[in-house]
Amino acid sequence: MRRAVALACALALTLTGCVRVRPHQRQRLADPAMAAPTWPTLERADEHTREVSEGSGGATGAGGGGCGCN
Amino acid sequence: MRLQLSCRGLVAALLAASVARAEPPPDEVSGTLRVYADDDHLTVVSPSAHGQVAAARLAVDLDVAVDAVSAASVDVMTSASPRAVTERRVEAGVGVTTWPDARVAVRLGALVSHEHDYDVLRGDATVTAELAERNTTLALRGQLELDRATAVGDPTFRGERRGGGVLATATQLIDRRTIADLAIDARLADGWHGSPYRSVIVHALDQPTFTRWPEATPAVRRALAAAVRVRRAIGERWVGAASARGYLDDWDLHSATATLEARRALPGAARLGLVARGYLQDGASFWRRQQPDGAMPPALRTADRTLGPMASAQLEVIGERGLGAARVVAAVGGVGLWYLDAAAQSRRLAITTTLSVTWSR
Repeated sequence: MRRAVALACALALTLTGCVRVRPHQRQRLADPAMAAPTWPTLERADEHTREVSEGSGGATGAGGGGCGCN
Repeated sequence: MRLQLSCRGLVAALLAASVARAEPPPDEVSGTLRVYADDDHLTVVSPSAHGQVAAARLAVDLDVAVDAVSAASVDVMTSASPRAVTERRVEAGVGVTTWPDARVAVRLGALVSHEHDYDVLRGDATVTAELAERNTTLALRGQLELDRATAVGDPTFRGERRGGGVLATATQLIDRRTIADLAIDARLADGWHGSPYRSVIVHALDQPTFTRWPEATPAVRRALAAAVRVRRAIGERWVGAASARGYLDDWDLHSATATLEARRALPGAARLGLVARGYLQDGASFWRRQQPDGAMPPALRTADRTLGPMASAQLEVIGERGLGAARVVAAVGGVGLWYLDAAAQSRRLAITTTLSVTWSR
Protein backbone atom coordinates (compact mmCIF):
# COMPACT_ATOMS: atom_id res chain seq x y z
CA MET A 1 0.00 0.00 0.00
CA ARG A 2 2.76 2.46 0.93
CA ARG A 3 4.53 1.74 -2.32
CA ALA A 4 1.31 2.38 -4.24
CA VAL A 5 0.79 5.68 -2.43
CA ALA A 6 4.36 6.77 -3.21
CA LEU A 7 3.92 5.80 -6.85
CA ALA A 8 0.63 7.69 -7.08
CA CYS A 9 2.24 10.80 -5.54
CA ALA A 10 5.13 10.63 -7.98
CA LEU A 11 2.72 10.22 -10.88
CA ALA A 12 0.63 13.17 -9.70
CA LEU A 13 3.68 15.42 -9.39
CA THR A 14 4.89 14.34 -12.83
CA LEU A 15 1.54 15.10 -14.44
CA THR A 16 1.40 18.47 -12.69
CA GLY A 17 4.63 19.47 -14.36
CA CYS A 18 3.90 18.53 -17.94
CA VAL A 19 0.20 19.05 -18.65
CA ARG A 20 -1.38 22.36 -19.61
CA VAL A 21 -5.02 22.65 -20.64
CA ARG A 22 -5.80 26.27 -21.58
CA PRO A 23 -9.01 27.96 -20.38
CA HIS A 24 -10.51 28.04 -23.89
CA GLN A 25 -10.00 24.28 -24.14
CA ARG A 26 -12.13 23.47 -21.11
CA GLN A 27 -15.63 23.50 -22.54
CA ARG A 28 -16.30 19.83 -21.76
CA LEU A 29 -14.48 20.03 -18.45
CA ALA A 30 -16.88 22.78 -17.40
CA ASP A 31 -19.87 20.45 -17.71
CA PRO A 32 -21.50 20.18 -14.25
CA ALA A 33 -21.48 16.42 -14.73
CA MET A 34 -17.67 16.57 -14.51
CA ALA A 35 -17.77 18.02 -10.99
CA ALA A 36 -16.75 15.79 -8.10
CA PRO A 37 -19.11 14.96 -6.61
CA THR A 38 -21.79 15.73 -9.17
CA TRP A 39 -24.54 15.35 -6.55
CA PRO A 40 -23.05 16.27 -3.13
CA THR A 41 -26.23 15.61 -1.16
CA LEU A 42 -26.40 12.06 -2.49
CA GLU A 43 -22.72 11.51 -1.79
CA ARG A 44 -23.16 12.64 1.80
CA ALA A 45 -26.16 10.39 2.32
CA ASP A 46 -24.40 7.37 0.82
CA GLU A 47 -21.30 7.90 2.96
CA HIS A 48 -23.49 8.19 6.03
CA THR A 49 -25.06 4.82 5.27
CA ARG A 50 -21.66 3.19 4.67
CA GLU A 51 -20.27 4.48 7.95
CA VAL A 52 -22.53 2.24 10.01
CA SER A 53 -22.39 -0.79 7.73
CA GLU A 54 -18.72 -1.07 6.66
CA GLY A 55 -15.53 -1.31 8.67
CA SER A 56 -13.43 1.27 6.83
CA GLY A 57 -13.69 4.63 5.11
CA GLY A 58 -11.89 7.80 4.13
CA ALA A 59 -10.13 9.28 1.10
CA THR A 60 -13.36 10.47 -0.43
CA GLY A 61 -13.85 13.86 -2.01
CA ALA A 62 -11.59 15.92 -4.23
CA GLY A 63 -9.92 19.30 -4.14
CA GLY A 64 -11.90 20.69 -7.01
CA GLY A 65 -12.73 20.43 -10.65
CA GLY A 66 -9.51 22.11 -11.66
CA CYS A 67 -11.28 23.53 -14.65
CA GLY A 68 -11.65 27.09 -13.48
CA CYS A 69 -15.41 26.69 -13.50
CA ASN A 70 -16.21 25.97 -9.89
CA MET B 1 -29.10 0.80 20.00
CA ARG B 2 -27.45 4.04 19.19
CA LEU B 3 -26.95 5.34 15.68
CA GLN B 4 -23.22 4.84 16.04
CA LEU B 5 -22.38 7.86 13.96
CA SER B 6 -18.76 8.19 14.99
CA CYS B 7 -16.44 10.98 14.00
CA ARG B 8 -15.04 8.79 11.27
CA GLY B 9 -18.46 8.77 9.70
CA LEU B 10 -19.04 12.46 10.15
CA VAL B 11 -15.80 13.25 8.41
CA ALA B 12 -16.56 10.94 5.55
CA ALA B 13 -20.11 12.12 5.21
CA LEU B 14 -19.25 15.79 5.00
CA LEU B 15 -15.97 15.57 3.20
CA ALA B 16 -17.07 15.94 -0.37
CA ALA B 17 -19.13 19.03 0.22
CA SER B 18 -16.88 20.81 2.68
CA VAL B 19 -13.59 20.89 0.79
CA ALA B 20 -13.22 24.58 0.07
CA ARG B 21 -13.21 25.68 -3.53
CA ALA B 22 -10.75 28.26 -4.71
CA GLU B 23 -13.40 30.80 -5.63
CA PRO B 24 -16.72 31.77 -3.99
CA PRO B 25 -19.65 29.43 -4.72
CA PRO B 26 -23.11 30.70 -5.67
CA ASP B 27 -25.63 31.42 -2.91
CA GLU B 28 -27.60 28.25 -2.41
CA VAL B 29 -30.26 26.59 -0.28
CA SER B 30 -31.17 22.95 -0.45
CA GLY B 31 -33.42 20.47 1.30
CA THR B 32 -33.03 16.71 1.16
CA LEU B 33 -35.09 13.76 2.35
CA ARG B 34 -33.48 10.34 2.49
CA VAL B 35 -35.18 7.09 3.48
CA TYR B 36 -33.25 3.89 4.16
CA ALA B 37 -35.12 0.63 4.68
CA ASP B 38 -33.66 -2.86 4.96
CA ASP B 39 -34.86 -6.41 5.43
CA ASP B 40 -33.71 -6.36 9.07
CA HIS B 41 -36.69 -4.15 9.98
CA LEU B 42 -34.51 -1.04 10.16
CA THR B 43 -35.85 2.21 8.75
CA VAL B 44 -33.98 5.51 8.84
CA VAL B 45 -35.64 8.74 7.73
CA SER B 46 -33.10 11.54 7.30
CA PRO B 47 -34.25 15.07 6.45
CA SER B 48 -31.47 17.62 6.04
CA ALA B 49 -30.97 21.22 4.95
CA HIS B 50 -27.95 23.06 3.58
CA GLY B 51 -27.37 26.73 2.89
CA GLN B 52 -24.46 28.88 1.78
CA VAL B 53 -24.05 32.59 1.16
CA ALA B 54 -21.01 34.40 -0.21
CA ALA B 55 -20.06 38.06 -0.25
CA ALA B 56 -16.78 39.34 -1.70
CA ARG B 57 -14.07 37.17 -0.18
CA LEU B 58 -16.14 35.49 2.52
CA ALA B 59 -18.66 32.64 2.46
CA VAL B 60 -20.64 30.92 5.20
CA ASP B 61 -22.24 27.50 4.92
CA LEU B 62 -24.67 25.84 7.33
CA ASP B 63 -25.89 22.26 7.56
CA VAL B 64 -28.59 20.72 9.71
CA ALA B 65 -29.53 17.03 9.58
CA VAL B 66 -31.74 14.66 11.53
CA ASP B 67 -31.79 10.85 11.57
CA ALA B 68 -34.99 9.27 12.83
CA VAL B 69 -34.43 5.54 13.32
CA SER B 70 -37.06 2.90 13.79
CA ALA B 71 -35.66 -0.57 14.42
CA ALA B 72 -37.13 -3.94 15.33
CA SER B 73 -34.07 -5.97 14.41
CA VAL B 74 -33.60 -9.21 16.30
CA ASP B 75 -30.03 -8.37 17.33
CA VAL B 76 -31.01 -4.84 18.34
CA MET B 77 -33.81 -6.11 20.54
CA THR B 78 -31.68 -8.70 22.30
CA SER B 79 -28.67 -6.47 22.87
CA ALA B 80 -30.16 -3.11 23.75
CA SER B 81 -33.83 -3.26 24.41
CA PRO B 82 -36.56 -5.85 24.86
CA ARG B 83 -38.72 -4.13 22.27
CA ALA B 84 -38.49 -2.17 19.05
CA VAL B 85 -36.66 1.14 19.43
CA THR B 86 -37.05 4.60 17.99
CA GLU B 87 -34.18 7.05 18.19
CA ARG B 88 -33.20 10.42 16.85
CA ARG B 89 -29.87 12.07 16.07
CA VAL B 90 -29.48 15.79 15.38
CA GLU B 91 -26.42 17.23 13.67
CA ALA B 92 -25.45 20.83 12.92
CA GLY B 93 -22.40 22.16 11.11
CA VAL B 94 -21.07 25.57 10.15
CA GLY B 95 -18.17 26.59 7.94
CA VAL B 96 -16.54 29.89 7.09
CA THR B 97 -14.45 30.22 3.95
CA THR B 98 -12.24 33.12 2.98
CA TRP B 99 -10.12 33.78 -0.12
CA PRO B 100 -6.89 35.57 0.80
CA ASP B 101 -5.80 35.24 -2.81
CA ALA B 102 -7.60 34.63 -6.10
CA ARG B 103 -6.28 31.08 -6.19
CA VAL B 104 -6.27 30.20 -2.48
CA ALA B 105 -9.16 29.38 -0.16
CA VAL B 106 -9.13 28.75 3.60
CA ARG B 107 -12.07 27.11 5.32
CA LEU B 108 -12.70 26.62 9.05
CA GLY B 109 -15.52 24.30 10.06
CA ALA B 110 -17.19 22.96 13.19
CA LEU B 111 -19.78 20.27 13.66
CA VAL B 112 -21.78 18.89 16.57
CA SER B 113 -23.94 15.79 16.67
CA HIS B 114 -26.22 14.74 19.51
CA GLU B 115 -28.26 11.72 20.38
CA HIS B 116 -29.40 10.61 23.81
CA ASP B 117 -26.37 8.36 24.36
CA TYR B 118 -23.76 9.68 21.93
CA ASP B 119 -22.24 13.12 21.28
CA VAL B 120 -19.69 14.22 18.71
CA LEU B 121 -17.70 17.44 18.42
CA ARG B 122 -15.43 18.13 15.47
CA GLY B 123 -13.35 21.00 14.13
CA ASP B 124 -11.46 21.18 10.85
CA ALA B 125 -9.36 23.49 8.71
CA THR B 126 -8.81 23.22 4.96
CA VAL B 127 -6.47 25.09 2.63
CA THR B 128 -7.11 24.83 -1.11
CA ALA B 129 -4.82 26.20 -3.82
CA GLU B 130 -5.15 26.30 -7.59
CA LEU B 131 -1.87 26.14 -9.48
CA ALA B 132 -0.53 26.08 -13.02
CA GLU B 133 -3.31 28.14 -14.60
CA ARG B 134 -5.87 26.11 -12.69
CA ASN B 135 -4.63 22.85 -14.15
CA THR B 136 -3.86 21.62 -10.65
CA THR B 137 -5.86 21.91 -7.44
CA LEU B 138 -4.27 20.92 -4.16
CA ALA B 139 -6.12 20.72 -0.85
CA LEU B 140 -4.88 19.94 2.65
CA ARG B 141 -7.28 19.35 5.47
CA GLY B 142 -6.69 18.76 9.19
CA GLN B 143 -9.34 17.77 11.72
CA LEU B 144 -9.75 17.10 15.42
CA GLU B 145 -12.58 15.03 16.86
CA LEU B 146 -14.12 14.08 20.18
CA ASP B 147 -16.72 11.31 20.70
CA ARG B 148 -18.54 10.74 23.99
CA ALA B 149 -20.71 7.67 24.57
CA THR B 150 -23.05 6.80 27.44
CA ALA B 151 -25.36 3.81 27.86
CA VAL B 152 -29.05 3.54 28.52
CA GLY B 153 -29.52 1.39 31.62
CA ASP B 154 -25.96 1.89 32.88
CA PRO B 155 -25.49 5.38 34.34
CA THR B 156 -21.90 4.57 35.31
CA PHE B 157 -20.73 3.95 31.75
CA ARG B 158 -18.68 6.65 30.00
CA GLY B 159 -16.77 6.07 26.80
CA GLU B 160 -14.63 8.75 25.19
CA ARG B 161 -12.54 8.82 22.07
CA ARG B 162 -10.24 11.54 20.71
CA GLY B 163 -9.03 11.54 17.17
CA GLY B 164 -7.60 13.50 14.33
CA GLY B 165 -6.55 13.19 10.76
CA VAL B 166 -5.02 14.74 7.70
CA LEU B 167 -6.46 14.52 4.20
CA ALA B 168 -4.46 15.60 1.15
CA THR B 169 -6.07 15.74 -2.29
CA ALA B 170 -4.73 16.63 -5.70
CA THR B 171 -6.81 17.22 -8.80
CA GLN B 172 -5.10 17.41 -12.17
CA LEU B 173 -6.37 18.14 -15.68
CA ILE B 174 -5.03 15.41 -17.94
CA ASP B 175 -6.40 16.69 -21.25
CA ARG B 176 -9.41 18.58 -22.63
CA ARG B 177 -11.77 15.83 -21.50
CA THR B 178 -10.12 14.14 -18.54
CA ILE B 179 -9.57 15.00 -14.87
CA ALA B 180 -7.70 12.82 -12.37
CA ASP B 181 -7.93 12.95 -8.57
CA LEU B 182 -5.68 11.54 -5.90
CA ALA B 183 -6.62 11.49 -2.20
CA ILE B 184 -4.58 10.31 0.78
CA ASP B 185 -6.20 10.17 4.19
CA ALA B 186 -4.41 9.38 7.47
CA ARG B 187 -6.32 9.10 10.76
CA LEU B 188 -5.67 8.33 14.40
CA ALA B 189 -8.28 7.61 17.07
CA ASP B 190 -7.54 6.94 20.74
CA GLY B 191 -10.11 5.77 23.28
CA TRP B 192 -13.37 3.83 23.36
CA HIS B 193 -14.21 2.08 20.07
CA GLY B 194 -16.88 -0.39 21.13
CA SER B 195 -20.57 -0.35 21.88
CA PRO B 196 -21.94 -0.67 25.42
CA TYR B 197 -24.91 -2.57 23.96
CA ARG B 198 -22.96 -5.38 22.32
CA SER B 199 -21.74 -8.29 24.38
CA VAL B 200 -19.33 -11.01 23.29
CA ILE B 201 -20.27 -14.63 23.85
CA VAL B 202 -17.31 -16.67 25.09
CA HIS B 203 -17.47 -20.45 25.24
CA ALA B 204 -15.38 -22.20 27.87
CA LEU B 205 -13.18 -24.87 26.32
CA ASP B 206 -14.01 -27.66 28.74
CA GLN B 207 -17.65 -26.90 29.48
CA PRO B 208 -20.82 -26.69 27.39
CA THR B 209 -21.66 -23.29 28.90
CA PHE B 210 -20.91 -19.80 27.72
CA THR B 211 -20.62 -16.36 29.27
CA ARG B 212 -21.22 -12.84 27.97
CA TRP B 213 -18.56 -10.17 28.26
CA PRO B 214 -18.47 -6.50 27.29
CA GLU B 215 -16.47 -5.56 24.21
CA ALA B 216 -12.79 -4.73 24.64
CA THR B 217 -10.80 -3.39 21.68
CA PRO B 218 -7.36 -1.79 21.36
CA ALA B 219 -7.50 1.86 22.44
CA VAL B 220 -5.59 3.22 19.47
CA ARG B 221 -6.51 2.79 15.82
CA ARG B 222 -4.34 4.20 13.04
CA ALA B 223 -5.70 4.12 9.50
CA LEU B 224 -4.48 5.03 6.05
CA ALA B 225 -6.63 5.27 2.92
CA ALA B 226 -5.72 6.28 -0.62
CA ALA B 227 -7.98 6.75 -3.61
CA VAL B 228 -7.53 7.46 -7.30
CA ARG B 229 -10.34 8.66 -9.54
CA VAL B 230 -10.56 9.52 -13.23
CA ARG B 231 -13.41 11.50 -14.76
CA ARG B 232 -13.77 11.74 -18.53
CA ALA B 233 -16.21 13.43 -20.90
CA ILE B 234 -17.29 11.04 -23.65
CA GLY B 235 -18.83 12.54 -26.76
CA GLU B 236 -21.09 15.54 -26.23
CA ARG B 237 -23.52 14.05 -23.71
CA TRP B 238 -21.79 11.40 -21.64
CA VAL B 239 -19.47 11.59 -18.66
CA GLY B 240 -17.85 8.51 -17.17
CA ALA B 241 -15.93 8.17 -13.91
CA ALA B 242 -14.02 5.34 -12.28
CA SER B 243 -12.37 5.23 -8.88
CA ALA B 244 -10.42 2.80 -6.74
CA ARG B 245 -9.65 3.04 -3.04
CA GLY B 246 -7.42 1.02 -0.76
CA TYR B 247 -7.52 1.07 3.05
CA LEU B 248 -5.44 -0.45 5.83
CA ASP B 249 -5.17 0.05 9.56
CA ASP B 250 -3.20 -1.32 12.49
CA TRP B 251 -6.09 -3.56 13.50
CA ASP B 252 -5.13 -5.52 10.36
CA LEU B 253 -8.30 -4.55 8.53
CA HIS B 254 -7.82 -4.07 4.79
CA SER B 255 -10.40 -3.08 2.22
CA ALA B 256 -10.71 -2.32 -1.47
CA THR B 257 -13.43 -0.26 -3.13
CA ALA B 258 -14.22 0.20 -6.82
CA THR B 259 -16.79 2.60 -8.22
CA LEU B 260 -18.04 3.16 -11.76
CA GLU B 261 -20.29 6.06 -12.71
CA ALA B 262 -21.99 7.14 -15.93
CA ARG B 263 -23.90 10.37 -16.45
CA ARG B 264 -25.82 11.48 -19.53
CA ALA B 265 -27.20 14.90 -20.38
CA LEU B 266 -30.83 14.84 -21.47
CA PRO B 267 -32.95 17.49 -23.24
CA GLY B 268 -34.56 20.10 -21.01
CA ALA B 269 -31.71 20.69 -18.52
CA ALA B 270 -32.05 17.14 -17.26
CA ARG B 271 -29.48 14.49 -16.44
CA LEU B 272 -29.47 10.80 -15.74
CA GLY B 273 -26.83 9.03 -13.67
CA LEU B 274 -25.93 5.46 -12.81
CA VAL B 275 -23.53 4.48 -10.01
CA ALA B 276 -22.20 0.97 -9.33
CA ARG B 277 -19.98 0.31 -6.31
CA GLY B 278 -18.31 -2.78 -4.94
CA TYR B 279 -16.59 -3.11 -1.56
CA LEU B 280 -14.55 -5.94 -0.06
CA GLN B 281 -12.79 -6.15 3.31
CA ASP B 282 -11.02 -8.78 5.33
CA GLY B 283 -11.46 -8.85 9.08
CA ALA B 284 -9.59 -7.13 11.88
CA SER B 285 -7.38 -9.70 13.57
CA PHE B 286 -6.86 -8.35 17.07
CA TRP B 287 -9.71 -10.40 18.48
CA ARG B 288 -9.45 -13.53 16.38
CA ARG B 289 -5.94 -14.19 17.60
CA GLN B 290 -7.17 -14.34 21.18
CA GLN B 291 -8.42 -17.77 22.27
CA PRO B 292 -10.31 -18.52 25.47
CA ASP B 293 -8.19 -20.32 28.05
CA GLY B 294 -10.50 -21.94 30.51
CA ALA B 295 -12.42 -19.50 32.65
CA MET B 296 -10.79 -16.31 31.35
CA PRO B 297 -12.20 -14.51 28.32
CA PRO B 298 -9.84 -13.18 25.63
CA ALA B 299 -8.42 -9.81 26.63
CA LEU B 300 -9.59 -8.22 23.35
CA ARG B 301 -13.01 -9.13 22.02
CA THR B 302 -15.74 -7.66 19.88
CA ALA B 303 -19.08 -8.58 18.39
CA ASP B 304 -18.98 -5.79 15.82
CA ARG B 305 -19.82 -7.48 12.54
CA THR B 306 -18.38 -4.55 10.56
CA LEU B 307 -14.93 -5.58 11.82
CA GLY B 308 -15.20 -9.04 10.28
CA PRO B 309 -14.78 -10.04 6.64
CA MET B 310 -17.56 -8.60 4.52
CA ALA B 311 -18.58 -7.46 1.06
CA SER B 312 -21.11 -4.97 -0.20
CA ALA B 313 -22.53 -3.94 -3.55
CA GLN B 314 -24.54 -0.87 -4.45
CA LEU B 315 -26.40 0.22 -7.55
CA GLU B 316 -28.03 3.64 -7.71
CA VAL B 317 -30.04 5.40 -10.43
CA ILE B 318 -30.18 9.19 -10.27
CA GLY B 319 -32.31 11.69 -12.18
CA GLU B 320 -31.92 15.47 -12.17
CA ARG B 321 -34.07 18.15 -13.71
CA GLY B 322 -33.91 21.94 -13.66
CA LEU B 323 -37.12 23.77 -12.81
CA GLY B 324 -36.50 27.51 -13.06
CA ALA B 325 -34.04 28.48 -10.33
CA ALA B 326 -34.39 25.07 -8.69
CA ARG B 327 -32.77 21.73 -9.39
CA VAL B 328 -34.55 18.58 -8.35
CA VAL B 329 -32.56 15.38 -7.83
CA ALA B 330 -34.21 12.02 -7.18
CA ALA B 331 -32.36 8.76 -6.62
CA VAL B 332 -33.22 5.15 -5.91
CA GLY B 333 -30.56 2.68 -4.86
CA GLY B 334 -30.18 -0.91 -3.80
CA VAL B 335 -27.52 -2.06 -1.33
CA GLY B 336 -26.48 -5.62 -0.49
CA LEU B 337 -24.29 -6.35 2.55
CA TRP B 338 -22.74 -9.71 3.31
CA TYR B 339 -21.11 -10.25 6.73
CA LEU B 340 -19.18 -13.44 6.12
CA ASP B 341 -18.27 -14.22 9.75
CA ALA B 342 -21.59 -13.30 11.36
CA ALA B 343 -23.52 -16.18 12.87
CA ALA B 344 -26.85 -14.42 12.38
CA GLN B 345 -28.07 -11.60 10.16
CA SER B 346 -25.21 -12.37 7.80
CA ARG B 347 -26.95 -10.80 4.80
CA ARG B 348 -28.76 -7.52 4.62
CA LEU B 349 -30.58 -6.00 1.65
CA ALA B 350 -31.57 -2.34 1.67
CA ILE B 351 -33.29 0.21 -0.51
CA THR B 352 -32.45 3.90 -0.36
CA THR B 353 -34.66 6.65 -1.72
CA THR B 354 -33.52 10.27 -1.89
CA LEU B 355 -35.22 13.47 -3.00
CA SER B 356 -33.32 16.76 -2.99
CA VAL B 357 -34.28 20.28 -4.12
CA THR B 358 -31.66 23.05 -4.51
CA TRP B 359 -32.22 26.71 -5.20
CA SER B 360 -29.25 28.73 -6.46
CA ARG B 361 -28.71 32.30 -7.53
